[in-house]
Amino acid sequence: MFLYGDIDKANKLFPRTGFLPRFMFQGCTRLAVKFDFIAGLLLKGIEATGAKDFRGVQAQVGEVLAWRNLFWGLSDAMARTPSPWASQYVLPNLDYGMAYRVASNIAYPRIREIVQNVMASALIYLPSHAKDFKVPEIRKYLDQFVRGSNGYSAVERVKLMKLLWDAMGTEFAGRHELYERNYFGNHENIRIECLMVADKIGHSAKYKGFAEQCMAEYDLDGWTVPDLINPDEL
Amino acid sequence: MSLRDRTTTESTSASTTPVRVEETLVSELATPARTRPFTGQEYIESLRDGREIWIHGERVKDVTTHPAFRNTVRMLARLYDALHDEKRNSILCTETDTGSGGYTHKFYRAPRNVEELIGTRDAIAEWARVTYGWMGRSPDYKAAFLATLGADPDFYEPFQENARRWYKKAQEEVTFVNHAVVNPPVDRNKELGEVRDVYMHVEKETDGGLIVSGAKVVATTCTLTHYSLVANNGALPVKDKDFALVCIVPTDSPGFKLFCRPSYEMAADAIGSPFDYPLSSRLD
Repeated sequence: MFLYGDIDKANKLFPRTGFLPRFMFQGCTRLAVKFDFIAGLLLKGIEATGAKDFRGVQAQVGEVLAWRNLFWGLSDAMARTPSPWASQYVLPNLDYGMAYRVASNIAYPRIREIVQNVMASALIYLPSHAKDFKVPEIRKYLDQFVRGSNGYSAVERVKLMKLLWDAMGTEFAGRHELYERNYFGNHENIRIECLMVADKIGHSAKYKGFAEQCMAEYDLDGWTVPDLINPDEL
Repeated sequence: MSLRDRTTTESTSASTTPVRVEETLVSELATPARTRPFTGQEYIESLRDGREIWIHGERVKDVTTHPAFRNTVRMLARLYDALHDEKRNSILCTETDTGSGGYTHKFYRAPRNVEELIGTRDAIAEWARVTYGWMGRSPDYKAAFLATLGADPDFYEPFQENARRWYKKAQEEVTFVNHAVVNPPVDRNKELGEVRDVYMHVEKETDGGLIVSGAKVVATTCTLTHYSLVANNGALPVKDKDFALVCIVPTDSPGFKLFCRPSYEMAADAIGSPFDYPLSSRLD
């Protein structure tokens, strides 16, 4: 037992103990690895279907790589700009952790959408079971009609597409999307908490001050600063 | 009244019939402390206990051989084996700071600087690669919490010694702890205290500890852990003493019941082969 009866502490457990930024650090890094894996599958997938040189496909795959790069960047930023913690210890950066939470909620469904757009019927054109390849009567048809492009045999293509389907299409895959979208709390909380933290630690006031700095440079009569020229002569 | 780790979880179901549990519930105190991380095989063995898991209308006799869990168990065992693998040990592990003289996964130790944080990140990533990124709740996930116990034990006053003890224990054996912190999506329009028939809360204080009753949801992978952290998290604040509880409960505690969703691992075996479902058949 770590806590009992202290209502104030029970409500502060996650925000106060350092758990949250560490949780975000682990979650972001794990997700970045998962996106490496999905990116690898997608890059192989467009080779196997012959779509890899289409400009539209390249743009979509490039976006997946950008998302992958973003999460590695956030993981790196969390580690390299830590905050002081208790005693001599340090915590991963909370702001970048909270950015990961919101970004992952957008990125995961987006990547799944891209995979479905880019691979399209290649994820549907699949035999029922590995056993189908063991039947000589139909093997020749599978080898011919489900062959891949760019040197992918039918078995290699189907093996790849079934893995990609298990990652992005099966019930397991759908559950993973739901899981990732809610990994760090519901879609509203993860956003609202960014605002709450910014309000609490003074960042909101700082951003408003920055906007007000610009607004203080002019009024109904024109520029209020000495270095800019009023449009009087026009 | 001694509250030192004597919490009993009466039930994670919505049971309304309290079952008082009298025996000592702190199993780890009865066995000698480990001073190095589990190996894969030791991890598998550690799951063969009295844990109460229900799936497809039956109680699971052995989670390590049941077709709904057996390959996921083995993928998790790979994580523990990796800690002892010479090639990966330097990426994954660092020496403990508990005085045990052993080593631990880097995320189980509180970091002191950027260099240690980068090393920790690389260890998290290397471990995630073992499961191709698909194991959402690997043991290092809960290290996010467990290392806080060592960095700031005084937050937990008057239970700070429990915090220190768990920091040491978890670090030395790389304990697999998950959490059960979310209340079920029932009566979301009500205050916590108005849903005592469903939400977990303390029902009774005894000399032996606390009797707890209620349900929690999304306790991902709890079936394959050693312990679960029980706490309250959500949009609604705790307002009552009987909801203000944070404790760790052994997965095989009497009264601790786990009710599972359908197993994709088992479904994959039933209708396909590893060739057909290469992820869901082993990373469910």
